[in-house]
Amino acid sequence: MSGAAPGVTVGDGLQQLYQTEIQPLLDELEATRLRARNHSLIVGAIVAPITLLVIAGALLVQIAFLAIFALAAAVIAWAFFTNAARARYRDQFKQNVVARLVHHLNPQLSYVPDTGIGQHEFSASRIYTQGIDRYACEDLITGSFGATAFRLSEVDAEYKTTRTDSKGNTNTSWHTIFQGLFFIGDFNKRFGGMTFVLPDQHEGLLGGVGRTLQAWGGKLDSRPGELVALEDPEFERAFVVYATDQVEARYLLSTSLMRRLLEFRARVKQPLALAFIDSNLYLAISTSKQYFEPPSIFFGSATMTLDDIKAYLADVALARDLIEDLNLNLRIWSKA
Amino acid sequence: MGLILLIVLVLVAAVLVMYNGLIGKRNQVDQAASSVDVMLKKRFDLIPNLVATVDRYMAHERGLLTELTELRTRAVQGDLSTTQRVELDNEIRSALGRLMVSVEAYPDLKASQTFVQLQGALNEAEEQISAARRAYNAAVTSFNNAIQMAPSNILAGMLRLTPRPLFAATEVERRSVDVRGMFQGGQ
Repeated sequence: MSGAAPGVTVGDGLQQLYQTEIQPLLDELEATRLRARNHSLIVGAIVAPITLLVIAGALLVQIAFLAIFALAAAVIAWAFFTNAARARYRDQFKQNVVARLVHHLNPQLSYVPDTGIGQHEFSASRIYTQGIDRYACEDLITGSFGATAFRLSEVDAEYKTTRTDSKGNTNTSWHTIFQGLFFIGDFNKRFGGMTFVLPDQHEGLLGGVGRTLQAWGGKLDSRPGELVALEDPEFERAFVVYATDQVEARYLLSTSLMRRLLEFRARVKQPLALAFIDSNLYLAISTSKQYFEPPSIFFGSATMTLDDIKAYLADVALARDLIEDLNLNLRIWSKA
Repeated sequence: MGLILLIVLVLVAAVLVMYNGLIGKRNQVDQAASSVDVMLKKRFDLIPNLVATVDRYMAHERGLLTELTELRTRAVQGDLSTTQRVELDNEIRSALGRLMVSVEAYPDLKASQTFVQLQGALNEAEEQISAARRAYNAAVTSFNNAIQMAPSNILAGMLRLTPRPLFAATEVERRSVDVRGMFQGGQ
């Protein structure tokens, strides 16, 4: 079981799958990795001496600019000539190994490595109100577990700030808005308003004063709704809730769902943010971990053990765990 | 002189802010109480439908059905306070619980589409009533805190604002069968 992934129960079939199907795939993958590594090393062996010569020359004639330029050009050239080999290795891992694990988890699921949940839908959740300047998504898993249809993908959203110093040089820096896994699932209750459950940032420290700050903060950003004070103190320490309807927020966040959310949060050990909009549950798990990526071409080995594969399967099973942990398949209300 | 004027202005502003805060909180309590009423009414309105659906199948539970209908008639009368309505609702809840137990003896009824839909609607009403009560309790707690804590308690005393009671689980409720739990078990 992986440390980062929540406690996943891995089915009995995995060992057999590993021996009969995954291991041959991994052997092929290892061959690809070695080819990619050797190719990268050869390109490096060609680029490096040329670069060193140019830098030495540049330092001799004392043009520091040329030395820096040569170094940058070398890095770009190396990346350009090795990109295809590295991409091939990565694609082969995703197409063969990750796709096989997704299929193993549930044959009905679909996995598309190079697409994800779009920026429009990400923004529609209104969990993050900061304007997005750069957006990337990949590793889309779609399908349903039980009655709950869902989509899950990796998302990386950033904004930029530009500063101009006294010399007139502009300096652009990028800041992360959200990086991690983004989940959209069909919620099991019908509702009409909007409810947001965000990680708590003030109340833990300041108590009642923090609550006042939260109430103001909720009004300041463009997210609709007012602060909802819930009765579970542990939940209140972990999250802050804003909603357009006080009663509806409590209808959605039943006492049992509050408990389940706390438990899920403790298992993933990452900050969670949720939005309930249009009968959907949006859930963002912030993490710097890159999911569904193969081991490094230089420092890793593609001949992975059963435990390594179990860790990947645990990641793949995250959506299932989320649906089970939050009990989204309980369909006893009027919504089918 | 200017200083005294400033102090007076600040005091007046503070009293105004406090006054508005108190009245705002009192109105939130009233609003929350009315949303409890709305959610209760949702459940009451399901009963005639339920009785009509169940009636055709259940030959031996007439007494229970009559009781439900009577309770419902009393509950929707206009001149009840929220507390009285909640008490009636508790009885209705308990009667519904007993009804759901007897449904086990009628497999045809349990399988009927209309009944399954009604069950869903009843579960929803149950969850919404509980949500409305929690919202009411939150509003009352916030109001009671405001009128009992310094310095707003002084103003609250002058306005004769008194603490409101919280909804507590009643004796009937504690004993009554968990309708939702039964639906889950029955599926």
